[in-house]
Amino acid sequence: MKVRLFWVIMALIGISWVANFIYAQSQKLEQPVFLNHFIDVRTYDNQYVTFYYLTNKEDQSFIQVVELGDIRGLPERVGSNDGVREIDQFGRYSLREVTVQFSPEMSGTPTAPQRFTEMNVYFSEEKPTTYPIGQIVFHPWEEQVQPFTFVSTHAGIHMEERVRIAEPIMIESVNNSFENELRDHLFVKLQSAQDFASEQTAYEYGDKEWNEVKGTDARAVKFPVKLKTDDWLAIKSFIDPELHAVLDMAIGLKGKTDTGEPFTVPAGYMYYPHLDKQAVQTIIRERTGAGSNE
Amino acid sequence: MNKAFQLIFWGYLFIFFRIHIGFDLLADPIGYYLIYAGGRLMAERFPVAKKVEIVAFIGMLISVPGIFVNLAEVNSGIWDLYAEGLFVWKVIVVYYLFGTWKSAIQGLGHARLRDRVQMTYVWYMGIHFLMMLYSSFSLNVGGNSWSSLFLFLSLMVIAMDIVLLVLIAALRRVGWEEPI
Repeated sequence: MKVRLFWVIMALIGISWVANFIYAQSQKLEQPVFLNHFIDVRTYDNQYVTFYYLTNKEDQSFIQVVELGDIRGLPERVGSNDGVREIDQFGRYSLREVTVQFSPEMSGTPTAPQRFTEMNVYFSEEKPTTYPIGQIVFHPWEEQVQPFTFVSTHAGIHMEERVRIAEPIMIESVNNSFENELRDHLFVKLQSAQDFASEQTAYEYGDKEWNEVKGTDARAVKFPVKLKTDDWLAIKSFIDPELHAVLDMAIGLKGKTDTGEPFTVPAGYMYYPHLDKQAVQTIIRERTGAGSNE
Repeated sequence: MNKAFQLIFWGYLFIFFRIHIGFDLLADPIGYYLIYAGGRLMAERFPVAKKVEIVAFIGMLISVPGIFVNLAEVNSGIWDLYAEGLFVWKVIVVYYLFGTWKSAIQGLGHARLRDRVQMTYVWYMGIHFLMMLYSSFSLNVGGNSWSSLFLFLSLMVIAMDIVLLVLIAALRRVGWEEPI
């Protein structure tokens, strides 16, 4: 009787193999899915951009070259898989990252920002294909006045940059490159004080809820805001965690110094989304359009 | 019979251990051949061992490609499938070995040994079934805890291999030539 039982169990295991195989094939991504990225690239900084994408677990390919319009990007081909690093695994899928170096000056010196929503990627095991990647903006070099001194940055659930005012200025607006897309997802608060030394409030460690973070929502601030030398300003930013996008962008403070010179100072904002299985399914569903079975 | 068990012992050892230097020094086909030879000896007295002969012979043939490829390091789909196939075949060979031993030991009055064979059978098969089931789900499941489970199951499989070798050694020491 044990004799028969053995074969019954083997048969059941065989069925499990077949069922899993069929399911795996049905969930297979036809091509990698890039996360949404919102990235400001300043062509006078180092132009390394890290991209994140989802692909099938068994995918062994790496990226040879990418193109944003005329701008070519070469991935750093280091490490075991030619520059592609696996960050995490979600069931059938693997989240990978690759760092690309762009050479925008090779396509001429642009005078206006260049915006791209799709990238042409040459994976090693596929035909070159165009993938939506969110939005990436290349900013040309502009001579800028720097009326701030950057003091410190703190990152947690929200990000906070503190600056000290170096000369009397007037801030006229706060904006960023992705107003349309991020309007309902990115929140900015400003907090300022007269005296840098005395109002040196500690960073809000313990990661308070955004509602409790001190400061005024940038949309509620009455511009222009006048600031004197040695005042301090904190720019606090928070992204809706449901966005599941990668951000490496600048929140720009625009205004004029008292001597009439205009400035736009970017406060950096970086955000990497925390992903779980559900988020991954949502991302894939939105990209591939078709409903995915879970 | 003792000779048969000796052959089977060394045969299984070859299959169990892999010393891969350029190629697998303890090659599987040799291991399967030894089991085949042991099975042939057993079949003189216990015809049911013929099945062991057949599956061990097949095992010898299908495990040849494994000599040249280090199956632990390769990551492609085909080789994974092949490694899984070899694993399944090993289980089948052991199944028939157990079948032979159980019928061989029936006549003798070794009640304790009989229980031990049965116990080893249940544990060995149980662990191997779990490993095969795990592999089937690995197509769709991943992550850190899943990998930890693999580590655990792998260690259990190794433990079962050792337990089996010990059992074979014990069976060899039985007085097979004594009149029943």
